[in-house]
Amino acid sequence: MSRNNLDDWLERTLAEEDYLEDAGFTESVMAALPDAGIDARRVKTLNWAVGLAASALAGAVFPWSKVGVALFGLSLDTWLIAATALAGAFTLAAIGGGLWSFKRAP
Amino acid sequence: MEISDEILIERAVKRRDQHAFSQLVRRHQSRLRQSLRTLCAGDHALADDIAQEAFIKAYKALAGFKREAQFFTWLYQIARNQLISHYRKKLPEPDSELVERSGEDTAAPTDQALTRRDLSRAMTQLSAAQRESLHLTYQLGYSNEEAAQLMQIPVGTVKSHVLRAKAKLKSILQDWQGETFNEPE
Repeated sequence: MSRNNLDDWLERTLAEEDYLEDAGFTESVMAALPDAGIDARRVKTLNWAVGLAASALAGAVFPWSKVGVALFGLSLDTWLIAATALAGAFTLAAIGGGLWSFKRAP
Repeated sequence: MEISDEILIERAVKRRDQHAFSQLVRRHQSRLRQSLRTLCAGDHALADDIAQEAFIKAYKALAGFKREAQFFTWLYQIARNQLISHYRKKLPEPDSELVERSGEDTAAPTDQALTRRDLSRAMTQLSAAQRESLHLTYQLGYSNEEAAQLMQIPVGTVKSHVLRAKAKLKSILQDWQGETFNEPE
């Protein structure tokens, strides 16, 4: 092969692309893939849907008229005591949670 | 009509459709394995292992694929990094016995006509950078700039690798031809 022919041959052969038969390669890759698992977005959507449905159901069966009348009948002192008790419960829960986390910290 | 890579990627990411991903693997396996065989200097088993790891890694990271580059270019980068980290970990070097055996298969041109296998054998005598430069620019059709980006080296260095590699290949192939001519009857 002359030098020019060799040049041409080299240029041509370098640019050729050999096709490699799959021969089970794709199957072996697919078998080694991690499981598709659960789609986090779908789980989130489902959570919202179930939560809203449960709230709607609870709202529909809740005796609003009776509870409303009873609440409006309470005195201001009773309202203040209830609010203080609620605030105290939240504060205790927050402090308790903080202490629990502090004890668990490494 | 062939479904584009973009659509297959979208299906694989949004619908978690593994069949779509398998189509991507089937479509790109040949080019990737061929590229890795070139980079591994003929160690086909290592090349296929790295190709498999690269596809798995690509699958896990597919949601983060920004589509600024072609899917194959992205995949090639993953595979290249896998190979570099493989060599850094000093895991077994390319199977020298296997490489030698593949060399024996094409030991010497049996006649004057050079074959593609002779070229593959000659390419194993180039440096890794020269082999990769030639492969990227000639076989994969990347421009010098794109090859430089993939190899993370200056464009001028790619050009020089390509020129030197071609000169070396010519010299090796001519030597082999000379040997064939001078073989005793």
